[in-house]
Amino acid sequence: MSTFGFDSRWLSKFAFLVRLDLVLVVVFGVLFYLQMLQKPDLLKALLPEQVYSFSFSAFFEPDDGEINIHTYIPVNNAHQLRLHEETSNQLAWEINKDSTGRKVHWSGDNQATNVQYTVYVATQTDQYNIDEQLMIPDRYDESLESYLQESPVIQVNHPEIVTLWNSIKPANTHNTVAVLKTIYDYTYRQLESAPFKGTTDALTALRLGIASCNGKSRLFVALARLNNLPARLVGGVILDENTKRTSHQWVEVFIEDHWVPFGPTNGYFASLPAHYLRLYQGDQALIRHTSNINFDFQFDIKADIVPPAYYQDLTNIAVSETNLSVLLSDLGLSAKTISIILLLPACALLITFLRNVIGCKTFGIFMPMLIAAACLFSGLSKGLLSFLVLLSLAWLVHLILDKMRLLKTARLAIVVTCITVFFLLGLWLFDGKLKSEFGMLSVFPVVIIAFIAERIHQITSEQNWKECILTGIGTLVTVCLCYLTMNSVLLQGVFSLIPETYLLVFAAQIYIGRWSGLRISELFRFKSLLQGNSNQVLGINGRNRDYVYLQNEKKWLLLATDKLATKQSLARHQVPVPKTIAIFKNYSDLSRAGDILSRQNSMVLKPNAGSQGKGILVIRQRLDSIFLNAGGKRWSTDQLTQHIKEIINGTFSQNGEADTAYLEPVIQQHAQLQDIADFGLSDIRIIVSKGQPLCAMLRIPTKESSGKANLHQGAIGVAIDISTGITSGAQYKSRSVQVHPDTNAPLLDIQIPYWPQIVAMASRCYDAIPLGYLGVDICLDRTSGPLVLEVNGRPGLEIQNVRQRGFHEEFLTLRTSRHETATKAPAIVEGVASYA
Amino acid sequence: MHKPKQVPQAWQSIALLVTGLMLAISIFLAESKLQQISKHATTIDVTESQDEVPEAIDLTATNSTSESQLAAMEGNSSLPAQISLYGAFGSRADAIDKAWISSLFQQAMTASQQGYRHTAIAIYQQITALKPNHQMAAINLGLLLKKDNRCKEAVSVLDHAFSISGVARKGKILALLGACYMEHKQYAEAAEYFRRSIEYRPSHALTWRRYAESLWRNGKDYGTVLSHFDKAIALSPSNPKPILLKARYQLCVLDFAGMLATLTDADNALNATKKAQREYLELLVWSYLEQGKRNAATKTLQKLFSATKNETQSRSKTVFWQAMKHYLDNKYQRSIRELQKLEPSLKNSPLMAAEKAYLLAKNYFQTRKYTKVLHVLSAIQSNTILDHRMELLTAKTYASMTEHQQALAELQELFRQPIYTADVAYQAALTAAELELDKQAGGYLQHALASQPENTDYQLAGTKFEQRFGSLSKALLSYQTLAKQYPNNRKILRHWAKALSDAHLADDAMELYQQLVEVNPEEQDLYELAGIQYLQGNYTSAIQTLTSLLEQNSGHISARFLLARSWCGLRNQNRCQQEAQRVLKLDQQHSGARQLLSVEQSNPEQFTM
Repeated sequence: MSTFGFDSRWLSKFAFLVRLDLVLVVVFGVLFYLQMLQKPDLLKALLPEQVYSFSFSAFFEPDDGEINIHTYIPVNNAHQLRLHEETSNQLAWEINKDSTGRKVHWSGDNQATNVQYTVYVATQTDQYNIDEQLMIPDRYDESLESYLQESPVIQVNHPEIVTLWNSIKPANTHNTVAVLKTIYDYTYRQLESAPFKGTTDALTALRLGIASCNGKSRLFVALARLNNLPARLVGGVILDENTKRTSHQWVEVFIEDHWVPFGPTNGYFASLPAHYLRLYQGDQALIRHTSNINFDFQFDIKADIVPPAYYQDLTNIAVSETNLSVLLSDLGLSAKTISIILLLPACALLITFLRNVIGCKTFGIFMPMLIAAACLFSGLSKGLLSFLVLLSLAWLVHLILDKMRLLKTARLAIVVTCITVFFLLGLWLFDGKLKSEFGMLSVFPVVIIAFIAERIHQITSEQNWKECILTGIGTLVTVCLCYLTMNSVLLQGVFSLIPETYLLVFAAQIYIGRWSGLRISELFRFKSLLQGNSNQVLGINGRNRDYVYLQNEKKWLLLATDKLATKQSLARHQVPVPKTIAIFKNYSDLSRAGDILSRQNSMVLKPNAGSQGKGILVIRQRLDSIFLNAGGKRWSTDQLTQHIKEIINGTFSQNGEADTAYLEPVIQQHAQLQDIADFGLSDIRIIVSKGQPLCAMLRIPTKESSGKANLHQGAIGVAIDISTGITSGAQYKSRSVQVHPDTNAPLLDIQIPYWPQIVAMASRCYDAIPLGYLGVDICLDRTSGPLVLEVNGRPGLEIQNVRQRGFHEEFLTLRTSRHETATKAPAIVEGVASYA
Repeated sequence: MHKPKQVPQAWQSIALLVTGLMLAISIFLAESKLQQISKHATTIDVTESQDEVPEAIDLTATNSTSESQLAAMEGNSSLPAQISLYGAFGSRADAIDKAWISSLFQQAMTASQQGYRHTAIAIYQQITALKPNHQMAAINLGLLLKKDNRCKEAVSVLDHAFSISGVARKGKILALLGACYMEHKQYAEAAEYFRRSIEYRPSHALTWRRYAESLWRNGKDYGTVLSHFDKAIALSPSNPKPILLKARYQLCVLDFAGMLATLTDADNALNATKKAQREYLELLVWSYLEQGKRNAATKTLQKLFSATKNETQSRSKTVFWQAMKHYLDNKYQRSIRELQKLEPSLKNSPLMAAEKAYLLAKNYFQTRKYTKVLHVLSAIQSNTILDHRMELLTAKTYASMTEHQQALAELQELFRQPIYTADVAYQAALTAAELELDKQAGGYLQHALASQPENTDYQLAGTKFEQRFGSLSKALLSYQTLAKQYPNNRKILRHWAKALSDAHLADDAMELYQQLVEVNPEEQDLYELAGIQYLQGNYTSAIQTLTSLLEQNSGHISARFLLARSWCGLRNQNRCQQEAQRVLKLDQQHSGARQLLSVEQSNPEQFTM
């Protein structure tokens, strides 16, 4: 075995895979370099764009006759670009354009009560530099005449306005800049601003000395026209993220073939900022509508940063022709969907890193990514909140359904149905108030939640709250990080414009996949072992990659999960196993169940494909026709038969499919172990590598573990010297102990009975089930002696903590000195033979 | 073979973790940086317009009505014979036909224009019941209810009209609501509605005026009210109403100088109509009167009489202004008699009654009948127009009665009102000075000077306080400064001369008095000059000065007595006795003259001043 942890057979067959990750990095480097040579400004193109979503919504009550609503909508020009627009269809609509702007006109006589127009715009700041020497022309083209005229609200020649101008005019009244600066200074600095909602004409603005934007603009226009400068009002909306009902007006002055903007309200001289959306020009009404329809309206504005490549038209730089965002956009996908697609690999890499390097546990490996994708539409906080609410509901449903003992598939289907109904109920109740988008991907969490809830239910029913919380936190963190990744405009831009970056992602994934080091969480888990040589400690990565994947073939792993088949195989190889009293495979076998049961005074009824002890029924004694279980509950024969039926139906099976029930006698624990703890069955776990027992521990239940020999649930682990069978150290909840916390029985220096036989049995298990990395669980029956309960193809690593020593290098040492093992084996085998 | 040293697993894990974290942080920082320098970065405005979107009503709407049509609605409540009620209450209530609604609306308009207000109200109510969103029907209904003194109903109708109306009409509706509350004397609510109305109709001068009035009546501070009146005036400079109302407000809050400026600045507008002209002149008279400019007041009163000569006005008014004329002519008894004629006829005119009582009190004040002044003032019912002038007169009366404590209390109370406080502060300063409350006096005077730093009376008072409570030498310097600043102000020169005289700087004092009499030989100045000349032993000059004085006023007892003493001083016994005799003729009890005669007769040398 090389230090990189792979077999030489692989090396010969797939030599080029030796450092595929490096190869990919090199390829990326080359491609990127070539692209940079061609497009040196490529990196500049990574700057994200600010775009706005602008929505106009009108609400009204249906009228007897036709309803008409007009409003101005954005045009495309140098300042703003319409990226995408849509209009609602509650009323018939059409879009027209005239000299004042572009308008949408809704009309109809149906019972519609609202209409909406939404546009996605990109804007830019316009700044004009006017030549200081420019003089005001005497004449203009006929087309500009109207912009020099007086009107009822722009009283150009009113004596008071003329008087005002005479009092403020500059020395040179023919210089364009001087005149405009004077007008601007007066209207911006000397006229106070006021939140007037109605129209203010120029004269009123002057007389009051205070005006809103339309008053200031009109006065500005009046003064400009007075000085023979064609000027016009311009109207639009200021794009700040908000829901509002206010519009804005400013001015444009015709100077040398340009209509130059001026904002006397907020102080813009010859410039128009990017967050101004221009809708119309001239002294127009922004909205017109039929009267007496209780009309109301609002604007909704949202700002967004999008990757630069998303809107090809925006980029002034000639970038790579390969633009994945545009490619996907052409397919009609929304920006959010595109970002999900582009960044899924990055999220997958992130999850890989979190799991394999940090050791972050989640509910479902890639489910957090899907949840994050759903949150992209609804917003992170809203998404997470709804996720948690639905998850809680799903868990409650699981809790209720558990009592009904339904089959797994049906159970999950019911949960999915409940969540969906609840989801729809929520939409109905909060109709219109929820301003969230629900894209396609929002639906997936409904399914995801069902699975996650089942997992949580499983964990909580074992009362493993710590694991539940840790896994929950891990899931939450992963979701948030995936959300941030999917929201990253930088990454979106990178993957759009530099798709060879995916090679880097591949390379990273391969590198992490090959890495068999300790996870960060394992640094804490095995912290007491790391003070010495940390390379001794085997982590999950190392276990899976270097042992399980290499040494445990799939077919034997599958066999190990079939308890009955395992028993049969072990029995064939003279490995003692608990006797099987009866097997019930299908309903036809139930006919003899009553007869068999009636002949038993005590028994254990087990599902073959069960896990975590679910479905196991231990009957301790019989009183006439009534059986009493370990908890003292009474069972009739019929009830036991019914239980068998449920096992057959698959109620307790891991995969929810039909199962086999079987009967075993109750194991009467060896007195020595019974003395230590009499409220559960202790067992001995031996790790066997290619038939060679490596290390062993005794697992003793406690009251806290509810009588189960499960270290994660609070059982005690006692290290056993593999060669002598004497207990040497005990760990209880990461602490060293010397006595049992419940019985005060001593735990150390105990000679395990039948030790040589136990070791031989463990070794022979490899013959029966040739898993190169194997965990054998053995119990001690007072009559039958040691019996193999089950074998495990992926035994846990906690034994290292129990031994207070890692066994990684022992594996390596073992492999290099197999000849020594071979000489020892016969002695052990003989011991077994004599026992048998 | 030597095994290569392996890096401990723990360090490998940490190294990988650190690498991953650094990569993540780099991406995060780059992202943040990029967002900051995003190509289309925007700036945030400090202010933003709050204006509503101007809406225009589609031409398909047929129920609009013009402002003039609305304004033309007047009403009485008798039912018209010629208007058919069938269409209004008829049997077509089932179908909400647009044409029918339009027809109903026209009927309501017609009924209203013809004066059948209740009928119009009923029809509008029917329209709004059938079509709640009918803006004009709701507005017109509200208007008519208001005119019918059913403001409570009007308010609820107008509230609904506001909710269904567009921007163009909201201003009007709010103004109507304000008017309702004004009628019910709920001025705070009225002010708020007017304020909101202005937001929709900033160019509506009438609303600005009513807003100012409601603020005034709600006790808002002087500056705020005034600025709103100014806006109303600015929007309609040729309209006399806001100008006159502003002037009346200034009169009420004791800003007499401001009132005068308001009236004189706008005399073109105020002469536009006869009614306006009359009110303008009336207010002008008051303005001059309150500032003590009797001559100007008299002249203005003459103009008023000329202007109203050919007009028919109420007898009360005629009598009142006659009484005013007598007052200005110092014929107080006659003025009182005229005013007393008015007593029974002013019950329905509280303003007139209050003005009459106020003038009566002023007459009594001039004739030193202070008890009667207080009695008359206390009998006047509370009236916003005159309240503060009455309080001021009350305070002045107490001061004249030397009940300075009471006077000061009145002034302090007045000072807390939302009025123009400069004059009140000045009066309070004088009163506090009388009570030797120098700090308080100084504080009040500072307040007055802060409002009117150019007011010579205030500045003079400051100098007098300096003289009284501070340093005489400083006071003299102040007088000098004031005299330089206002060389033609006789009061300043007079006070300065008095101060010099008190400081025993007789020569300087005499020089000032000579300066005064050269410009205008007023009695008091001549008398003071003669006094100084006498004390300096310059009897000849004193005699000359006194002779000039007595030529103006031969009945001046003190001057004649001083003349007698001056002759005595020149040892002209005959002339001395002669003058002393004349004194006794004017005042038989004049002890000084008697003594002078007896001393002269016995031993002329023994007389002393």
